[in-house]
Amino acid sequence: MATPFRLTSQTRLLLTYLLGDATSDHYGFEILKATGLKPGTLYPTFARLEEAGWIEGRWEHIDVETTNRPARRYYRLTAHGSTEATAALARHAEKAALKAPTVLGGLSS
Amino acid sequence: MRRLAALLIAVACKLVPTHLRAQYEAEWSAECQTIALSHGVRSSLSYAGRLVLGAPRTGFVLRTNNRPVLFDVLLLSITLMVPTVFFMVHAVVTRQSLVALAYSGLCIGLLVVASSAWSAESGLFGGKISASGLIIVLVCSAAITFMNLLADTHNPALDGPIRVLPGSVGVQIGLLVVMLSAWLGAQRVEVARLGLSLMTLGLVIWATIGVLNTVLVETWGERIFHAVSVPSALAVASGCWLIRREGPALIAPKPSQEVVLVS
Repeated sequence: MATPFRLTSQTRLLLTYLLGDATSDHYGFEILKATGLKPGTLYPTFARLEEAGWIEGRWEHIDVETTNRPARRYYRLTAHGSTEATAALARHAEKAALKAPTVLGGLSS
Repeated sequence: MRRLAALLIAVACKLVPTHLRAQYEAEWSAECQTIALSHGVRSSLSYAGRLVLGAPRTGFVLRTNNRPVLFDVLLLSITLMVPTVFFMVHAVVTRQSLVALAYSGLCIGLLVVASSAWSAESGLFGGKISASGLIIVLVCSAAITFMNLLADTHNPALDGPIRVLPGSVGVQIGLLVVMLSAWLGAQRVEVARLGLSLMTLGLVIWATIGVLNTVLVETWGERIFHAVSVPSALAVASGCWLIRREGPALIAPKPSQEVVLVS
């Protein structure tokens, strides 16, 4: 089944990272640092994934006065998103594996 | 330093669509303040700087997400800018100040239409800015046509062995209809689509005459003018036709069709 958006290399990178710890909440700066994505790529991708229901965003529940900082926005894979992302990444890996021998064969012949 | 970070975030937020601005402002400010506490103010400033650098892309992608025709509207305006600037330079070089002024106005009008398309969240050709842009484009293009017909002005692309007048008049009537559609209620989309059809037809006629002129003219100097105008006319014609085809969703999107990216 096709994804509701284009599965670019950046989207795959983000999904792989999120799947690495699918049950935890993640925030923008952490993902930027870990994946090397740029903010101009990350936030629109968040929006696409959220629109497709693959991830959900929520505001952190903290006591602002005690922590002396505002609440962060966290993102987490939904159950649906986790299943879909795993399947989509597997499909992509399969396709890439199928293409590889052809390219090598073409080069060697 | 914190004020600078806040200022940078405010600048970045200006570039994202209005309905997401509050969310991103809160999210990015919180992120910045948290980074300042854990990694220092420099890191926080660096993050804010990266947000500003990425904000044009963020804004563009969020606006055009699921609305690929918006790309075409922007591309269409930019495509039209190329011959307009070319002809404006020609008018300046040949000291036709009024013609140069009209082409400058045309450039401004096109920029206004493009900028209104960029921020169009309630549909194309509906807002006051869009209507103002279309009025400027219409007035300036009509002025160029009339000056070419009535005054002693010279523009190889408009003159040529066969005059492009039928094409340019078709485009201008189409523009007028599109502009008037902004003031209509229920029939707005249909009228705008009619205007876009007329513009497409006018541009195809223009391009056809342009191709004939390219063959018929004798000097390479004149040929360049047609070479510039023909592909632009064809590109804009295809853009107009595409917008016409996507009309209802693009010109007057229903609330259910609007893209809601974040719940």
